Amino acid sequence: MTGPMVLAARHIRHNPARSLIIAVCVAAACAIPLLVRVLVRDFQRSLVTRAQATPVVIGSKGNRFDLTIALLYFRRVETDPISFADFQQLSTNRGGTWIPVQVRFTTRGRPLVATSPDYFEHRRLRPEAGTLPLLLGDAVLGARLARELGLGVGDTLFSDQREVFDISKPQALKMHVVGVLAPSGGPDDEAVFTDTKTAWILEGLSHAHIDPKKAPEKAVVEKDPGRIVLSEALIDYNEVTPENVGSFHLHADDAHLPLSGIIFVPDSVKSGTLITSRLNSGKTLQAAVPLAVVEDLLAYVLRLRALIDGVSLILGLLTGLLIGLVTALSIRIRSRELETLRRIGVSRGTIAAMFSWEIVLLLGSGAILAVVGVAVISFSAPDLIQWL
Amino acid sequence: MNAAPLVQLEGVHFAHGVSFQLSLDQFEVHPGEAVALIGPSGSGKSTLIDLIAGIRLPAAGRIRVLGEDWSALAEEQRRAVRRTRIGMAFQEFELLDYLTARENILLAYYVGAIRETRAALEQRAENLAAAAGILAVLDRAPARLSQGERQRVALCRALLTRPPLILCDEPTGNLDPTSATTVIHLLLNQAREDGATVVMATHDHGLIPRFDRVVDLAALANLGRKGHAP
Repeated sequence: MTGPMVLAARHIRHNPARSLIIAVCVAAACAIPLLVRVLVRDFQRSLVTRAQATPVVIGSKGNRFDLTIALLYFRRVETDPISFADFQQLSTNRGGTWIPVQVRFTTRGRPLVATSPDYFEHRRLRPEAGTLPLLLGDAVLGARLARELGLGVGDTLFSDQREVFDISKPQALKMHVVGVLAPSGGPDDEAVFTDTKTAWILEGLSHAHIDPKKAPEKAVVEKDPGRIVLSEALIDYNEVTPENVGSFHLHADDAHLPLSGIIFVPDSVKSGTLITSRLNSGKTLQAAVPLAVVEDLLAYVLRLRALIDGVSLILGLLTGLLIGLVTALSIRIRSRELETLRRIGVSRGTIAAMFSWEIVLLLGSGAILAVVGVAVISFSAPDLIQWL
Repeated sequence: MNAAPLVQLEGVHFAHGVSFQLSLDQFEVHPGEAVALIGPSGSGKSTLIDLIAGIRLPAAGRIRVLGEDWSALAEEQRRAVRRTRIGMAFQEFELLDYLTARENILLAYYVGAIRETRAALEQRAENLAAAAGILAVLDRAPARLSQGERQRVALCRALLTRPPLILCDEPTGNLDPTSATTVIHLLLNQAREDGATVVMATHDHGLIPRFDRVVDLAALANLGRKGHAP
């Protein structure tokens, strides 16, 4: 180390609070634009990858962003449901795979995704332990969710009660964990998957209770030869078991069984285009191409990034001003020291080098802090992206 | 003294505003001498030290120090002479508070005043510190030293490079008599050992007998040499 550098380093060490503030400001000025770029890049990559893997999404007419976000990222957005009848009617068309998706419910605050086995096939999701949901009431957990909740095959978990104070609404369903998916690095890691029929139990459209003919006398309110009226005290089952699975039954026809939407995986570009244009020219359903939707969304993100770049530039200028101000104040505060140095013959160049080294060391410390910060946050970027 | 004077002032006139003037027809210090400058406050002792050091330049007259004519040198050149060939000590010690006592003594090394190796300088610093009785406090910050210890550190700093000329401006002004005696003993002994010349401004008449010569600026006379302080 050169002499002026040693003197600068000693002065920095002697004023830790001042030096730390400057280093942190420098770090923030360097790290914020870098972090934004890293996060936007990863966010972009994540969105595009997911969108590319989902050729077409179908739902009720409305906001295509909401539909795409709901079906790709399982976010609860207020979209009108389509019916199971729509799904059945569409899936009679050849030309691809039709995957029903229902994302209206949650369990422990995480999305409960009701779908068909085709979903797992399409996303290449394999169980790391156990099996895929085969029976009513079965649940399969995403890898991260299973780790965070500490659940595994053989455990149970309840769906979230949507209306706690409305006893007419169906109660929470106790589901059986039959599998845990291998990590996929996407939203599937944080979801619980069930069969669509399980979701309809949560809707209150399917239920089971004891056989009225076998109900105890005190539970029978009215009994005619043609019908039996049971007491309200007779509560529906809140768990699907091998004993009661056969008694679950629907109280709605296909036209009233809701789905959030359909993921359509066409066999060819042509069939995708045909279905999309046909549905979009209709009055009730819409088909959106997630990649196009995501590109529109990214245009907003990139505009936001430009704004943050501008803010970062201002922050950088302010930090430069702060350093200039601190240096100017430091020169005033150290005037007596500078006079002593002059009196003992220290050259102007050496004094300038002392101050320059101090600025360089502070900038360097800030830059190192920034690099470490960016590296740490980049390391956890996938988690952040998932959270976003 | 037959050797050429190390410090030579001729017809020097210095004015600071209208309130202070210093005129000296002739003033010389010869190599190896230890000269005490005495006089009441305001008589110009500190100003004379500054003029000899080339920190200030006179309005008229000529100052030659260590063979250099100050008026012929630029500011940076005068600084270089001070840095490499003149040791300076001040009344207020003027230690750098962010350096330890050891680092303060080694300041000349950090500011490029000397080309000796760091190891040699560190050894010299330790020897000086041992002679000054401050070896145990070398790694302390100045704030944790007594006044006497600080002045001894400042003196060691001035002596580190074995300068041929040592200029001291009231170095004992803030010290108790015992510490003052210790400091002057250290200064003169070390200067004698190094063959250095000492010019020291002081108020302390008790220290005068230790010097080879005394210049009383207020009395306008000095062993046949003339000084004039209005």
